[in-house]
Order: sequence, then structure tokens, then C-alpha cells
Amino acid sequence: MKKILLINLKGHHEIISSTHLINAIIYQAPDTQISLLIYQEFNSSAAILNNVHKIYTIDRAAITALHKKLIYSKAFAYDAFFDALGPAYEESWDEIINFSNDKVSSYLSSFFLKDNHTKIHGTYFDKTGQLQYSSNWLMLLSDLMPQLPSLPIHFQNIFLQTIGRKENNSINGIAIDETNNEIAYLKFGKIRKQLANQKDNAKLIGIPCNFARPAVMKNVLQLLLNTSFTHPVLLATCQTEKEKAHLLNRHFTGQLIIIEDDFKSLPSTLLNLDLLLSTEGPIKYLADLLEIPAIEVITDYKHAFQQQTTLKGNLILTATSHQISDSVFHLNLLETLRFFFNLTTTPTISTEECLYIVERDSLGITYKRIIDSADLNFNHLFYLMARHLLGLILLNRRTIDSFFAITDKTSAQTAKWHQEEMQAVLMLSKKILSTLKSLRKVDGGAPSTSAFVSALDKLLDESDNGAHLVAFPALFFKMRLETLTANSTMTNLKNIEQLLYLFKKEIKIIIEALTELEEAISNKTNPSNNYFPNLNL
Amino acid sequence: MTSATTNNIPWPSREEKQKREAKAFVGRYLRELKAKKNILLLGLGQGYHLAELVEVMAQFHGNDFKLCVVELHKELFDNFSDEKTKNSKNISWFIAHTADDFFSQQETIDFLIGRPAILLYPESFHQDTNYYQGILTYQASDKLDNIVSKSKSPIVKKYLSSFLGQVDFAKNLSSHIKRKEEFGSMDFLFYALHEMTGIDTQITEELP
Repeated sequence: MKKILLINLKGHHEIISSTHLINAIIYQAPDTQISLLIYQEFNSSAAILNNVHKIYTIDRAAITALHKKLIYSKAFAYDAFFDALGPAYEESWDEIINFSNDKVSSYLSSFFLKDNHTKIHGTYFDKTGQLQYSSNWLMLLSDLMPQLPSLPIHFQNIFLQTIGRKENNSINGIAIDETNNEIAYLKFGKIRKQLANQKDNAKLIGIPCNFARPAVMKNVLQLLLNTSFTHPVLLATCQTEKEKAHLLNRHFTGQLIIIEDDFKSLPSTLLNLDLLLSTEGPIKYLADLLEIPAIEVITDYKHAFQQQTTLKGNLILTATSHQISDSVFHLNLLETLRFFFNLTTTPTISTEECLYIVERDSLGITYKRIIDSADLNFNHLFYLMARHLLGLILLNRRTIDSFFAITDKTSAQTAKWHQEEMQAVLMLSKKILSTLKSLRKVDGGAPSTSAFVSALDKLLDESDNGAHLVAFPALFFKMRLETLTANSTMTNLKNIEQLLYLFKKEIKIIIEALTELEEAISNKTNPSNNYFPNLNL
Repeated sequence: MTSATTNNIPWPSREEKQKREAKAFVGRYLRELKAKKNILLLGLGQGYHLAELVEVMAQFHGNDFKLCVVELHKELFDNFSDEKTKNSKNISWFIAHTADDFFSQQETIDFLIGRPAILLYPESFHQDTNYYQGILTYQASDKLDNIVSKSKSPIVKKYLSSFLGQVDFAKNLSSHIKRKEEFGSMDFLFYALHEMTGIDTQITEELP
């Protein structure tokens, strides 16, 4: 039986979303004992996870006060921190998974790493204080993802790759309280009965109180009240949300159904809904795990292709441009609802928004456009191509779907994006070549070494650009460079040369992919509508 | 014995006067008492105000409140004859000789972490100004040997003791760890603590 410690020092939604990982581990080895290390303030969400052997908690607020306030001897903070972690330290772990990958969790991973046989997944510090990544995938998540215009691979898939497990949703990862289930079933039965007098067979649509700003929220609620086939159910999970819900209900003269839940009773409520209108937050992740259908709404286009809903078949309605009027949004939302409930097969979505469906491909969770009204914007193009490239570089696998999604919807926008990417990649190729040249000139003397170091610095500076596809090989190069530990300069130079060639090889993959894309588009395009005039058709 | 009167109205007894004063004392803090379930009372005196305080806290919070009474003179505690109040499960007593005694007890720390309201009994304060002033302005020693002596964890004690003679103050501990060529488990624990509490973050600047 394996013992695994999962360190998760983030909030409720990260705790709930780690269930996917727990499910994958338990599916592979059902007798694995998984324990969690969390901050005490998030105990309520951790308590609803199935398949967790033990929960270790850190009372962050108390320990911080003991450490910071001058009236307390630091001894109390040191003791309290060690007392909180001591029991986990005493254990012998087969695997440590650092799910949060921040500095505190990386230090703690190293603290727990006392046995030689312990395998670590995630970031940690080695004995010399160097930050280490357990996989290339993690470098992506920790160093690059925050700068990217869109997230090509869902973090759940990155974690699964990191720990070497496969996604499995057949495990019941959330504990559902029987009593709450019974109460919720009766409560919703009554609601449906009462509602039947006003609307025949209306669907109950759950909306978290943090769904949107108050003005938008009021309009969406009004829409769901006015529509013959929907009725809103407002979900409030904390005191502030409860107050917000009651304020809204006053505005609607008591017409709203408000369900107040804690994490223990929330699963039972979700199970009784017909659909969830979801937004970022723990409810979304919980609904995915419980397989509650959802439409996720993203009003800021910059948030598209980040950490969206993961349940296959769910819909995502996302803005494609800066400005989107409330009226357009409501019409699009109504169309999406009609499409979801099979009241139309061809929803009319205006070009300011786009409708996606959650699917799976060889890289895991992916989002496919189902309404083709708008052109692919830069974020989407980056998402598709980055997905294609990461498949090639990290898995040596072609994700053809992403590629086809671009060729199917080509526009002047695609050509402009393609041109910018090509320029970025060619410029970086030149820098690599010039760095290689100056490396070859190193003869042991100070001037040639300094010229090489300066070229390498320039290359690293140039490549620090998260907006383009070259950011991926550049990051891998940087990380590989940091792991060079040879004592001899000559050995290090030789190793750097090899890394530069590997960098060049990965850059070549991008050039080939962009060229292949250009050709594929041109082959498909009517010559009169050719966005790539440089190609000889 | 006849009691003194004015216009045939008997003068209040000493006891009645003290009770009246106790009511006035508690009355000044009603808002705090309503808002907080934990109260730190500095000074027991004759204890009338304490009995009144317990009554008011019970009205506001039922049985769900905690009072911590700090007193310098043990004899005042011994002479306090209100057995019901004295034995109340809602009250903790600290007969501490110095401020350091008070702040060295784990029970005190656990109580203070709950951010209690602080009530200062004026009579006690006048009588033992230095003592109560000492509590109100207390700053724990940052000397490493003092911290080692206060730590109750053998592992933490052992780790900190390894720096004695090289490091005098806790604030210098971080830079001393940083100079190590190789880090051990406990070094990482200390780094994590510093990072989590946001104190002395420069220790991690050199680490990614």
C-alpha cells in the first residue's frame, strides 16, 4: 500500500479540483492512502473529498500572528508550526505531490523529503537551495502559464502528466451526505410542484451569487424568470453571498429561489439542478466532479482558454472582443440555453461571442467551437497552435484536431497572427545561431568568453516573451540551462552547445508546423480569397 | 451599629458603593463586551466588577464566553469569596509576578491569539501601575537563548540550539541559515515559516 502526501496550500477551488488527481491515483491503485496538507481555513471543502485518509492542517492566521507580533516569543510560532507539521513529518511517504507549487509548498516538500525512496512531483528545493521541477510539464505551469495569452493545456492534464496517471472519472470523489440528499430531494420536489403552476416543465438553473456584477446578475435573473422554460435558483455558500442573494430577492419582490449551502450540503443541491450557469469558483469544480451539466460564461475575452469547466459536453459562452453590450450577451445566453435544452439545433450567436463545447483529445480537456460566426482571435489561434506544438515537443504526438480547427476557419486575422509568429521564430533562430557562433569562438580567453556570455544573455532576454509560441522551447532551454552543474567550464560549454542545438531543433519544429499550417490553409483556400499570397499556389 | 443617614436616607454601605462602581465600570465597555466573547481583565481588586462582568457576558453570550483575569497579588485571589464566580468554567486566572511570566504561558498565548477585548480595572492599575504597564507594553525577547528556553518542542529546541554561540538574535537566524552550503529539513521548515508569514522575506530573495 502506497502512502501519498498531497500538499495543497491554495483555496477551496484548488482543493476541490485536486479530486481529479485523487481519483486518477485511486483508480490505478485503490489501496493507496492519500493524505492532504492544507491551510486550516479551507478545511470545510477538504472535508467533502472522498478517498482522503488524513487531513493535516496549518493554522496560518494563528501562526502568522505568533510570528509577527512582538508580544509573542518566536518560540510559540516555531513550536506551533512544527506541531502542525510534525505528525506528517513522522510519516514515511512514497510520493509527495506539491499541488500548489508556490514557495511555501516547495519548502515544505523539501522538509518532508527525508526518505531516499520518496518520489516528489512538483517543485521543491534541493539541498543547495536550487528550485527543482519534477517535470517539463510543471515548468510550463509554474513559469510560463501566467504570461501566456491562453492556457493550451488544462492544469488538470498538466498535473496528471506530472504524476504519470491517466484521467479517470469513474471514481466517486465527492462525499454526498445522505441526510442532506433527502432534504434537498424533498425541497426541490416542492419547488418543482409549485413552479408547475406558473411554467410547465421549467428547468431549474442554478446561478452562484458571484456569477456576475449586480447589474448583469439582475438582467440574467430577469431573463431566466421571463423565459418559459427556465427558472433561476440562486446559490449562496457564504455570509456575503447570502446577503447578496437576499438583496437581489428584494429587487425581484421575493420571486427568486435562494438555496443557502455549506460545502457539506452543496453537492445535494447541485444534484437536483437541471443546469448550472457557472463562473470561476469552487461551485464550478464541484459541479464538474458531480457531472452536473453547466454553461460557463466568460465576459472578459482575456479569460478565455484558461481554467474552464472540464465536464465533457458542457458549453462555454465566451466574449471574443473587448466590448460586449448587455443586450447582445442576453440574446446569446438565451440562444445558448435553447441550444442546450434542444430547442434549437442552430443557435444564432453574434460575432462578439463564441460558443465552445468541452471535449477530449490526446492532450486531454479541450474546447471546440460549435458556432463559427466570429473569426479566430489571437488567443484562440495561440491556444490551438500551442496545443499542437506541445503535443509534438513533449509527447512526440500530433494533435491534428487543433490544426484542423485553424485551417477550417481562416481569415486575414489568421494570416496576421501567422506572420507575427513566423517573425518571432525566425528572429530567435538567428539569435541561437549567433550564440552558437560565439560559443565556438570561445578559446579560454576572457574576451571570447565574455562575448559568448553576452550573446547568451541576449538570447535569454529575447526569448522571454510569453506572447509567442517560441516561449515554450525558450522556457525549456532556460530550465535545462539552470540544471547544469559541472565544475569544469569546458564541460559546461559543451553541455550548453548541446542545449542550444536542442533549442534549435525545437524551434525547427515550430517553423515546420507554421509552414505546414500555411500550406494546409492555402490548399484549402479559394485562390481569390487567399490570405497567404506569398505561397505559390 | 446604626448606619449614617442624610435626610433619613441611609448612606450606601461600602459593599453597595463597590457594586455601583462595578456596574459603572462594566457599563463603559458594553459595546466591546457584546462584540467579543473573549475578555482579558487586568486587575481583580475586590472582585465586584468581575461578578458584574460575568453577569453581563452571560446575558450577551450565554455560556459561550471566556474571561481571563490577571492579578499580581495572590492574596486578593485567595480573599475573593464569591465562590460561584471563582469556580466558573468561563474564567481563567493568572496570578503572574511579572509580565514575562504572563506571556510565557501557553494558555495565555492561546487566549491572546483569539484577540480578546482588554479591560483595565483602574483601581488595580493605580495600585500596581508598573506591573500593568509592563503587560500592556510587553515585547518578547528576540534573543535566541531566550527563545530556546521557551520552546517546548525538543526538535525545535535542538535545531535552534545548534545556532547558539553563533547567532544572538532570531532576526539574524535567517541570514545565518542562508550561508549554509547544504540545507537540511529543518532549514526548509524555517524558510517555509518565513515565507508563509511574510516576515523577513529577503531570506528567500536569492532562492528562486
